[in-house]
Amino acid sequence: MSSNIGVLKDIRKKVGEENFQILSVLSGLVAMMIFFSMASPYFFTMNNMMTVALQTSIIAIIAIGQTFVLITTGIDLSIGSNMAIAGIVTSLCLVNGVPMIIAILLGLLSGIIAGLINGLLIVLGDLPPFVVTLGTMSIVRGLALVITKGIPVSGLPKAFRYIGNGKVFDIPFSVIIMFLLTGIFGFILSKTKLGTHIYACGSNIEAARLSGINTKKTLIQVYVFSGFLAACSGIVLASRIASGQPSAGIGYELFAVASAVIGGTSLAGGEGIITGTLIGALVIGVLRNGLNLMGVSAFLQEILIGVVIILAVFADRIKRR
Amino acid sequence: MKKTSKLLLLSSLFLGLATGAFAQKKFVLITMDSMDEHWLSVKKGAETKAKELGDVEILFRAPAGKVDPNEQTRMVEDAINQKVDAILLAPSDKSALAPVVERAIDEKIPVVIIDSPIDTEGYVTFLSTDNYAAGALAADTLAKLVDEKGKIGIINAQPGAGTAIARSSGFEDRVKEKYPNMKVVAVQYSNGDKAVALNQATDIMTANPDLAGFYGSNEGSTVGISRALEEAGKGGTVKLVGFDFSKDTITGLKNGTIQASMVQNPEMMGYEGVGSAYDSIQGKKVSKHIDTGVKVVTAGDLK
Repeated sequence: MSSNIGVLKDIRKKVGEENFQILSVLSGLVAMMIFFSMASPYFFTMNNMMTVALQTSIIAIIAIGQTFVLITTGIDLSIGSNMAIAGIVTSLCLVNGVPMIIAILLGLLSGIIAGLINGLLIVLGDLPPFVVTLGTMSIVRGLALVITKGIPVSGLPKAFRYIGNGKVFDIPFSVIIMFLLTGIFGFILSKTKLGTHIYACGSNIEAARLSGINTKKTLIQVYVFSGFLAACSGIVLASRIASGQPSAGIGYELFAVASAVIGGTSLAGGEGIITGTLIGALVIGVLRNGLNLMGVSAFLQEILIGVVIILAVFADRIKRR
Repeated sequence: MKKTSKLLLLSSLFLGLATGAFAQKKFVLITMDSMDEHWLSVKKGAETKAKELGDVEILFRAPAGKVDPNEQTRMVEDAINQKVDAILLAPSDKSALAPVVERAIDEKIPVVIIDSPIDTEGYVTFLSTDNYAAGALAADTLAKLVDEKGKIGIINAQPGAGTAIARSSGFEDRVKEKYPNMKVVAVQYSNGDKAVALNQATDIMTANPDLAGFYGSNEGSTVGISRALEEAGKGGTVKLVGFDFSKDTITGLKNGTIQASMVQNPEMMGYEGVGSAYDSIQGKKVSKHIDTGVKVVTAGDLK
C-alpha cells in the first residue's frame, strides 16, 4: 500500500513540472501571434481571433481525446472516421424527424460505441492500439459510406446549425464547447483518481497493475473518451458545414497527434496535459490563419507546418537532456 | 440425316443460349471517388446506357477515401487481370495513371477516358467538359456580377488534377486577358473538403475586407465558400461563381450565397462513354474527343 502511494506521489510531482512545458509552448504561441500582428493588419482583430478559435475548435476537441490515448502510450487513428459517423448518424436522425436532442445523443453514442470497441479489442485481445484503430478507421469509414451510399446527408434543420454557427455574447458556440470540454477533461486528467491511473498506465503499466490499479478498465475508458470527443467534434463539424459528409475528418487524426505533441505530450507515454494540447491546436490554427492572411502560398504552408511540428518535438528533447 | 440436323439445331440452340448467357460484356468504370454526386451521375449514365445495350454489365470502382491515384492504378491493374471488355477511367492524375492505361491498351482492352485528361495516346475517346473553356466562362460570369472590377479569391480542389488545373488556369487567363480591373488575390486548395474550404474562404475575406468575388472550382470548394459567406453575413455582397450541382449547391443558389454554378453533364459522360466503348468493340469509328458541354445555372433556373 505504501508503494502505491509512493508511485502516485511521483506521478503528481511530474505533472507539476509540466507547468513549465505549458509556459514554453504558450510563449511560442504568443511570439507567433506578435509576428503575425506585425505582418498583417487584419490578424489581431477581435473578429479574426474569434475565427481562429472557431477554426481550431474542431481539431482541439479531437486532440483532447488523442492526448488521453497518447499518455497511455496508445494512439487512436480512428477519430477522423468516428467524426464522420457521428455527423452522419445525427444528420440522418434529424432529416428523418428525430428530435434534435435525441439525434445528438445518438450521434454521441455512435462515437462512444466505436471507442468502446477500440478499447475492448486492445485490452481483451491484447492487440497493439495502432493496428486496432487502423482497422476501425477503415471499418467505420466504410460504414459511413455504406449508410449514406456515398452521398452527403443535407437538408438539416436550421436549429441544428446553431451548434456550429451560433454565438453567445459574440463568442462562437463551438468555441464554448471547446473550452467546456477542455475544462471537464482537463479536470479528469489532473484532479481525479482516474487521471492519476491514466498517467500510471502510461509510465509503467506493470507497476500500475501491481499497485492495484485496474489497468484494463482504465485503458478502455481512455478509448471511450476519445470516441466520445471525436463524436462531439463530428457533430460540430456537421453543423458547421450544414450536412453529414461521409468524407468528413479524413486526415484529422494526424492534426490531433500534432496538436498534442506540440502541446508537450510525449509519444513515449506518461506525459501530457490537456491545456498544453489546446495551446498546441491553437499553434496550428494560428499558423494556418496567419499564413493565409499574409497570402503565403498553400504549398509553402504545408512545409512550414511540418517544420513547426518537428521543431516542437526537438525543443522538448533538448530540454530533457 | 434428320438426326444430325436435329442435333445441329439443338447444339446451336444450346450454343446460342450459352453465348446469350455468357457473352455479357464486362465494362469497368473507375471514378476518382465514390462520394461526390458528380461521380454518381457518371455511374448512373453508364448504367442507363448498359441497360439499353442489354449485354453490358457495369462494374463500378472508386477509391473509398478521397482522390488517390495509386488506388486507381491498382484498380486498373485488377481490371486488366480480370480481362474485362472495356475500361472507363476518370484519371485523378494525368501522368500517374498513364503507364497503367498504356498497359491496358497493350493488352488490347479499349480504354475510354472520362472527365479529366491523361498523358498518353491510344485510348478510344476522351469525354469531358472542356474545363479550360468552362473556367473562362466562369470568369466571364463573375466579371458580369462584379462589374468587371475588384479582388477575387479562388478555391481549387486538389493541386495536380488536370481538371482543377484547367478550370483555374482557364479562369485566371481570361481575367488577365479581358478584365484588367479584376485581380486574383488568393488561390487556395481545399482538396474538396468543405470544412477546409470554409476556413480558407473566411481567412481570404479577413485578409481582403473589400473582396468582390469568389470562384470555387468544384462542388466541395463551392459549398465551403457559400457556408463562409453565410457565416460572415456576406451572401450576395461578395459574389460567388462555383462549379457543379448538388443538393448543397442548390441550397446556396436558393439562399443567395451562390450567384451561379457551372454545371457539367456527368450523366452524359457515363452514357456516351459506355456507348463509345461499345462502338469501338464493334469496330465502329469513334471520335477522339467528345465535349459533353457545360452550362451556367443561376437561382432563376431552379424554378
